[in-house]
Amino acid sequence: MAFVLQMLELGKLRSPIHSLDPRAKLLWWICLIIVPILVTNPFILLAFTIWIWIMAVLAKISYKMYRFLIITYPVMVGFIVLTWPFFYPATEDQFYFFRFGILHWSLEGTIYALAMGMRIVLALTACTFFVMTTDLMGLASAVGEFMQNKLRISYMYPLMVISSFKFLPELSGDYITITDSFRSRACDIDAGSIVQRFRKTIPVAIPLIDSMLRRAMRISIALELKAFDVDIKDRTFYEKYVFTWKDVLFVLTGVLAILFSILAIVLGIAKVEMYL
Amino acid sequence: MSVDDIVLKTEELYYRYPTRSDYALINVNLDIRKGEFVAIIGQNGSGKTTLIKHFNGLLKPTRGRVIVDGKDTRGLPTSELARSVGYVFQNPDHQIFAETVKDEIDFGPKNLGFPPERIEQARQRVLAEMGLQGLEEEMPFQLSRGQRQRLAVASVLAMEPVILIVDEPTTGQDWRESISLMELIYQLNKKGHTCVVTTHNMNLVSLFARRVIVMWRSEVYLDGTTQEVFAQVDQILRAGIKPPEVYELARRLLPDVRLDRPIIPEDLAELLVKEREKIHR
Ligand SMILES: Nc1ncnc2c1ncn2[C@@H]1O[C@H](COP(=O)(O)OP(=O)(O)OP(=O)(O)O)[C@@H](O)[C@H]1O
Ligand SMILES: [Mg+2]
Repeated sequence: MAFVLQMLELGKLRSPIHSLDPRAKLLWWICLIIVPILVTNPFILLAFTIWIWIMAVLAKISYKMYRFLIITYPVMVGFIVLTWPFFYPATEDQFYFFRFGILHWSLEGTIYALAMGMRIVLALTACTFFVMTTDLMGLASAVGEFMQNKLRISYMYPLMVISSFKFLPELSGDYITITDSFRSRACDIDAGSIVQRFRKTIPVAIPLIDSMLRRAMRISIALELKAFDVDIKDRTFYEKYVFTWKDVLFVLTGVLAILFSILAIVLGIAKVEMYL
Repeated sequence: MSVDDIVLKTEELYYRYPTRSDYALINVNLDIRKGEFVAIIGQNGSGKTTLIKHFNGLLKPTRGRVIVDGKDTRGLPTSELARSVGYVFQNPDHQIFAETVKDEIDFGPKNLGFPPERIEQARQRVLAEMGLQGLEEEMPFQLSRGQRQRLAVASVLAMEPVILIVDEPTTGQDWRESISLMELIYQLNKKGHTCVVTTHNMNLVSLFARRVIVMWRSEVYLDGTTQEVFAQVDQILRAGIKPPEVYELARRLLPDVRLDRPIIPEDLAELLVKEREKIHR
């Protein structure tokens, strides 16, 4: 929990990647979601993943977060790769490492599992990279500006999203105070087995939700007091986002990734089936 | 008093929040003895909360040492230090989670592995001490703010700590509630608990605390008995604190009388009556 909150705070860092327009990063992310849909060749997927890892270095995220980005998903997917081959249909023409009754493990099964795993790794890595490098509040604000001024849709909805992100630092403050108060009563949230830790989140969640509701109530009153929801069509925006050539270039890398995937399909190397 | 009486000690304590460049605590050296009632006062942001969070290991010194009950806090998690130090947070809603008052109180002792009879005894004792008898089966969220505050104290006291630390016990409470809460802490102190309290309410300090520590700009600025500290009106004002009116009055009306103990308005009245009698004679 604390970790997720820390991760969301990363969006406020300063780096070449962070300074890009949040909308550019959103488009880039959408491209990188399309890639693992088109491609299943695990080696191509791996190459794309490594590309994101390199960009994460440019984004200057902390060592701890970087380690999370690089290690967590491959480890998670490692479990998939270990179990999937057991369920891969056993046909006669495969190369088997072993086969006893219904228990079997073949090279083909492993490659197939690897392909499915790498799709998940790429999608999650791209998503995490997006979250770590984008100020979500900035994104909501930029999208809101676009909606209000170009599409004439009320700013109300984006603002609702923005305020909930504004909540995050306060939420993380509350979370720390609450876990501190439990620690002071000899209940250490970050100690013990996974099951024990999970059970301990329940007492913490109650005061957390309570304080969140109180805050939400306070904020909504404060918003109304500041004339929010008055019906004015051309409102001004403090932060102006303009698409620069850097942003275009960045989106282009995402589009190129899709084009490359299509090329791979044409060349017949996009699918994992070529190894089976 | 011997050195053995020291239950809490800081040695050249410095602390800097990881996200900040300046120190929140600078060279704090304190000895707190068994049975003391200490009030820590100071402007907003002077470092009071940062200091007391070191007393149960929620924060670990950037430099220097904190010794609690003979143990260096550096090597110990807060959940372990909770055996010796009870820490009550300012906002009771940050800790209350249980469905009944009883469960809330039993939570800490259970975590410490107390046997059932001891948990039962502790609960009965703190319910009585905090004036919450008969509310055992109530839902904590339906209690009044003052009752919830007392429940928070009760659930910490149930762990039978040697030292009780309370951060801003009286915010959001009216004068009557504040007095009765401080009175409760005072009673605990008389029973032998060492109590450390931070507060902005100088009148309460002058009524209850026997020792006052004034924090100013991350440092301990004054430290002494309540009357010693409040007698230094100029320094106190410099630290951004307004001493209780009764001290100011006493100083102006009776400049020759040396105050040798904390005074309350009744004392001042008594002193004035005595002075008047002297003049009449
Ligand atoms: N979690 C934190 N991260 C960074 N800085 C902090 C943090 N908590 C407190 N500080 C800073 O440390 C300094 C001391 O704060 P502290 O909370 O100890 O003051 P305080 O005396 O308790 O104030 P108050 O009377 O308002 O409760 C302040 O400058 C504050 O901004
Ligand atoms: Mg404080």
